[in-house]
Amino acid sequence: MEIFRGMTLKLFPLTKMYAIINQGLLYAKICEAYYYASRGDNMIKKEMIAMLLAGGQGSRLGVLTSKMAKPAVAFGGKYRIIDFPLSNCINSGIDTVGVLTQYQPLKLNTHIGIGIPWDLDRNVGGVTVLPPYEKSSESEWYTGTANAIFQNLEYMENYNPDYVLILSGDHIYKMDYEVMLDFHKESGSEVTIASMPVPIDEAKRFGIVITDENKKILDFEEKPENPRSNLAPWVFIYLTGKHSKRR
Amino acid sequence: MRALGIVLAGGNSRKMGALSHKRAISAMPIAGSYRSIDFVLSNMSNSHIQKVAVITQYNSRSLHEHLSSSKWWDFGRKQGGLYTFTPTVTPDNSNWYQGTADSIYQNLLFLKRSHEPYVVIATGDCVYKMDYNKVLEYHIAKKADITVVVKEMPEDADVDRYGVVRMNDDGRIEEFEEKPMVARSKTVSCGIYVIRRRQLIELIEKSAEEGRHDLVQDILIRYKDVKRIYGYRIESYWRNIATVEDYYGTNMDFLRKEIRDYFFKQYPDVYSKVDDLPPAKYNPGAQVRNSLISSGCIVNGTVENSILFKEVFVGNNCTIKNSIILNDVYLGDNTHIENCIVESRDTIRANSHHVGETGIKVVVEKNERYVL
Amino acid sequence: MGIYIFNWKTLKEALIAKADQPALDFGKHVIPYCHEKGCPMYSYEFNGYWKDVGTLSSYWEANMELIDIVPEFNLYEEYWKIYTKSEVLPPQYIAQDSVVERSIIGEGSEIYGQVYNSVIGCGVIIGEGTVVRNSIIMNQTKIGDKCTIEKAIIDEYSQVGSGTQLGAFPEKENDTRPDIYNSGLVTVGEKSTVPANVKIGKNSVVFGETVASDYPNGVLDSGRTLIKVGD
Repeated sequence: MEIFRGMTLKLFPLTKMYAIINQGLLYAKICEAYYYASRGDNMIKKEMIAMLLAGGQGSRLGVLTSKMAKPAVAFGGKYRIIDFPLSNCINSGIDTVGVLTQYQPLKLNTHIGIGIPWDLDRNVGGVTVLPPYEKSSESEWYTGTANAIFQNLEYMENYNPDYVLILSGDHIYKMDYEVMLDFHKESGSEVTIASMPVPIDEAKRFGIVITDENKKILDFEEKPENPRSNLAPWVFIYLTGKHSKRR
Repeated sequence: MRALGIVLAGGNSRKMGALSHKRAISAMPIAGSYRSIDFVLSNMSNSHIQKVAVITQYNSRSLHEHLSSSKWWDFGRKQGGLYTFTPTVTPDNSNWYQGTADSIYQNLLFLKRSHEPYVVIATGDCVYKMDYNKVLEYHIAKKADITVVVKEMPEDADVDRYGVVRMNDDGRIEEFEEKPMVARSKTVSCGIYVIRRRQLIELIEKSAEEGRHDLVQDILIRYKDVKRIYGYRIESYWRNIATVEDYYGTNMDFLRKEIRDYFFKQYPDVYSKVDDLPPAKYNPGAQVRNSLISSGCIVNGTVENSILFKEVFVGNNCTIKNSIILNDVYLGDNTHIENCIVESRDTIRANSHHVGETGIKVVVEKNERYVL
Repeated sequence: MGIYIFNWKTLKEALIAKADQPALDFGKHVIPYCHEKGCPMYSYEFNGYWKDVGTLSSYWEANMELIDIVPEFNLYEEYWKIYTKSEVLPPQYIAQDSVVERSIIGEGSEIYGQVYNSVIGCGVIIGEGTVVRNSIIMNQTKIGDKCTIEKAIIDEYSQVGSGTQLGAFPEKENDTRPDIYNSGLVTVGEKSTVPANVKIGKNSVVFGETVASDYPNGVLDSGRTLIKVGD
């Protein structure tokens, strides 16, 4: 569609096709405006909401996760693994977090509660635990990370966000997501992926991302034997091993 | 919800010395992670008293900060609540509280607008665990006008700073002397009173008319023959912390297992405001014996028979013995602290030496601290 | 790393377009779809400490890194606190004859024994004469007297009887899941009971309320798995 429109712009500026497409887009925009207007003036709007994927088992932790999901496993004496992404959210100023659970969520639910320890007990927003639920049409468990998000489009729709932050609930780190959001806005990106530099001789263990000097992603590569060089070698940035090549 | 609570936390005690320069006595840190007022508030909450007024006056900033969110003691609800009353200027009155009875008089509207039949008055500077409903049942059974909770102190105890009472066999208080020169018995008043709400309003109003402002002197002692004032004996642990020696002794009591188990392991719990601090860290060189260490501490030196409160940093080669180190203290390398109480937010420079030779020494050292 | 920021419209459009894909995954399907569509995609470089604690050995290593003298991941920074639900408040008690070195200990714990290089959770009781080394002991666990615990992970609410040795005997491969239990650790699951006076070897697993009769000759050899819980 895009290519077609480009061509029409260049070659046939006034063809019927061009007019029809434009009209169609205009019509869609009007419908959207009506939809939002009908929801009233006091519509909730959040700039960025976070969706925390906490449904995994973490089977490689053996009996530690046989009765609880991996984000509920204790760490560092008194914390649990999910405290780290939740604390990062509230420290970054994100006050609306949806936590997607599926595997053995009992411990996780009791721990999160209504979000008091992370200041996520709010009148508007706050933390919501989102398990898979039965619908009047077909219902299913969450089959994959993106499927879980897809099944909760309505939850996200309620907050009409500009940006959505997807987090996984089983890593230990401290990150200011607001800085990442600033980078996202400044670069004009539609999808920003966080990645970490690793030494080039370890690159073959991970999935890597190849970027140009502005950090724009050019390509992905999964565990390459010879990591492709680029104009400036320091630009190698890598994802971790789970993401496979698109083939 | 038969009773409402009043906590008297506005007074000062000269005998606290330098320790009360910074904070009200009710805000004194106890046993590592608590403050003195937590014990009273937890007792009130666990006795299902849902409406509590805390009356503050002296040095109340840190007390207010501690009480700023009432949810820790389960008071942040639609029914009941935690109220803090500081002296305010009104068209009728622009005085500070002139005494305990006057502080209640200036807030009489709170009592008049409530509907609970009874009032439990307690002070904020005692450490104990109690179910006030038991005192209330005793009060009703004896048809008393006022019930005072009393404790039998050991024979050798010094009671001249308490209110000393003598009860007859029925429990009725026959003699009551505040801070006597010569004490005639070893039973002291714990500062906890149960009284009917309307009765309290009547007595307070009468005292105010006569210009009398102290609850103990002008109401309890003065009316002891006219009204039925009974004493309720408390058998379990009770201590008051209004002097440096008693404050030190109360904290050191928590090094004993039976006291710790009584307060922390037995139902009901003692609640306090939660400070999200990381676990205590013991680096190589740390030698800790018979001590209580709170969260956020980093220990590099020797700590014996002591209590470290929150966020204390103990440098290399330090020796701390028989001491209490309050919150957020930085101890430089090679310091020696013995028999002391180190004030909170102090910075003790390296190679300092503080020993309490005759009694407990209170160390207050506000040096520059370079934050790393 | 699994951290993405999407424009809301882009995300919605991509998810609806790929709705029928079974096992819809971000890395495998959504991100490549967006890339093929030509959406501008940028990479945000993150330079801090980041650890995926997905395996038992990386989990154990990450905990051990916290007890370095100057840990790479600093929990003691004032301006970026990690919040958690605190159930236990009282301070920890370290007894007269105990030794604690190079460890972190959570609130409400009582240490009567010796602890080296370990991470101890909240409300843990370590009995007299017990030596704990290089281990992770989680909340509300009780360890009896005179035990020796070496390189173990003991989950919450467990009980270890007196005189027990965890981590004795040389290492052997685990007999049920060598891919999971392979770093010389002893793993004890939550709410488990280990009876008194038994010896448990490395790479072994105990889960459930075990009694003395589960241990022939009072021994669980290295690499053995003892799971007494259904599921």
